[in-house]
Amino acid sequence: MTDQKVSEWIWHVDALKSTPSVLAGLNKDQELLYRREGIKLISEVGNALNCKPRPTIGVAAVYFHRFYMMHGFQTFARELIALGCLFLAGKVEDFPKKCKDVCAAAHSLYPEIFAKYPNLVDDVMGTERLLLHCLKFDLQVGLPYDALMEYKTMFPDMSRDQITDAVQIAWTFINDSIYTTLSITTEPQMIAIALLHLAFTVKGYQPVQQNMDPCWWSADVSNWPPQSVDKACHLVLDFYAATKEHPILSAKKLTVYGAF
Amino acid sequence: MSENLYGEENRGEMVRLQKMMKNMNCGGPRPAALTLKDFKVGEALGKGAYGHVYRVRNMQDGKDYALKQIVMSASRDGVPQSVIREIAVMKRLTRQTHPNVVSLRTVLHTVDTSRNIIKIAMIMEICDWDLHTFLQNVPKVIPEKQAKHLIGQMMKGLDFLHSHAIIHRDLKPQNILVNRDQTVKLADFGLSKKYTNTSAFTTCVVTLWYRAPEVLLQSYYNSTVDMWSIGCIIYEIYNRVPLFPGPDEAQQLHEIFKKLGTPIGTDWPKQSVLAKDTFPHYTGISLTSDVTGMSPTALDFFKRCLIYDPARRMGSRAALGHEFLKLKPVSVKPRVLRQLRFNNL
Repeated sequence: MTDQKVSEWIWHVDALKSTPSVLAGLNKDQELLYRREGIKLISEVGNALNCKPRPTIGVAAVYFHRFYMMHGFQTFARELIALGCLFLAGKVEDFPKKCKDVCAAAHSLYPEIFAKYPNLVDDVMGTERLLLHCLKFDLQVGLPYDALMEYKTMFPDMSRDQITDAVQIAWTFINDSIYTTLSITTEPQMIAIALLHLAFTVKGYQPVQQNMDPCWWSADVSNWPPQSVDKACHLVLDFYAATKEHPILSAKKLTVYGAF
Repeated sequence: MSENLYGEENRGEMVRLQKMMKNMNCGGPRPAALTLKDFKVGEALGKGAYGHVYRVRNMQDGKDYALKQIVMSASRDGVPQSVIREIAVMKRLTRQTHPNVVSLRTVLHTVDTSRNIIKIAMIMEICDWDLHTFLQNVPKVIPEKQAKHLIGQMMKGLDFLHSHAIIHRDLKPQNILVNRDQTVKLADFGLSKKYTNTSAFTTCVVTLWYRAPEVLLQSYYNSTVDMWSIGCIIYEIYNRVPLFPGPDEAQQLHEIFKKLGTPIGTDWPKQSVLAKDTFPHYTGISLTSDVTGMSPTALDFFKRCLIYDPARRMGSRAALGHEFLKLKPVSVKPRVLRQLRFNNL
């Protein structure tokens, strides 16, 4: 696995084809659905506890995606890992939630999923220790929002309304990007670039003048071709397409593939 | 001509280039993660408040490090938030080192689920002495130049921590480390007493001599609590005896007030757990006669550290620029946007 890494917590895109879950028999699309379901749990339980996408839910989602680059869904139940990530992110980001409150919210939102955990509090606390170990205490995670706010000031050729609008749309894209594997293949700053680029494209805004380099990010990220930026954007668009027809956890039940 | 380009005289350059390439991100495989088995434990270096510190030898690189072990029980809400946050901070600091802050090589941990105990081992760089030992072994009168050299480095390290939103909270001569070449390094930052005294298995009484009054009175505090400690330590550098050697927690405040006078008016911490009239009114004594070795600028620096009101006490940034040190503050605020290279096709 090590040779499939760009840096300690950024994996090569190819690594997604041979994750522990895939090696244990899940196919890639099935794994992506499992990831979305786990993130949905983080997001919904987090919302119920007044956690915000920035930072708590965003950070918890990064933990979740990283964890499943090291272990398979077949070995560790995503509903427990999801709650553990949320619980841990709350502590790290200084919006701590009591373990019993996290569990109560989970039970009330998804009674069927959590029915098989009569001692959920103990299970989540155990999960926390597992996560600390797997994440190597490296818990301070950067999110794309900070970079997005910096880029907001860098388009002198755009009107104030346009850039504010584009940043707002990009912000929403970032919120939703947690359902994709972007955070484990792409630096937060590059996610901000890609999704701001997507916002410009969606709205038909011209971020730079005609005679300038359309790759406005090239001063910060060299050699990043537009096709590859588009690829990153497509991950988010694919997520919208996939969930439009099949909303995640709409039946409040986890999907189960095969018999483990 | 073209033969010469790769000829003997350019070999050094080629080797250097090859080395650089290897060190770049795309270079060969990373070394395997270290485990406790890679370290041979040597003599105990000291007994901290949170556990023992040992000299260890890394069998992979043959170098010596200091190993500090923290043992804690998981609380009712899992691993204490303070411990998680502080270790996360230290972990982050392993990527951004400062010459006056002890660098953390790695953090290892084990969990004993059956006993609900978490052990954390920090592997850090090792130094020759702590300031306490150092001061016992240098001539009684310290030249101002040397004092300035020590204090300046302490301040640079502290300014680095403060600019990363880290308050040390427990600065004292025992955790300021000094090397043979007189480089100074701050240690034990992050795992503050305030956070860990309830969760660590501590058997060792922690000294309160360097603690600011607002902390002792459990009022609100900010990064200037570390400047109070610096003031106490400066006195000790010049005078070789502690400034406020309180025998116990109750007496510590009396010790301070006897020397500096009981704070009056707005100097009394607003959220204090104790009312002002629980203390007698001390008028304070002049400390100037104790520190005859100090120049007027050093004395001014020292006094500004010991101002009661945290809002008026000198901060670490201001301290660097103070007439006594005349050091340029280095901006170390981490930038959000960086130069990146696209390398993930």
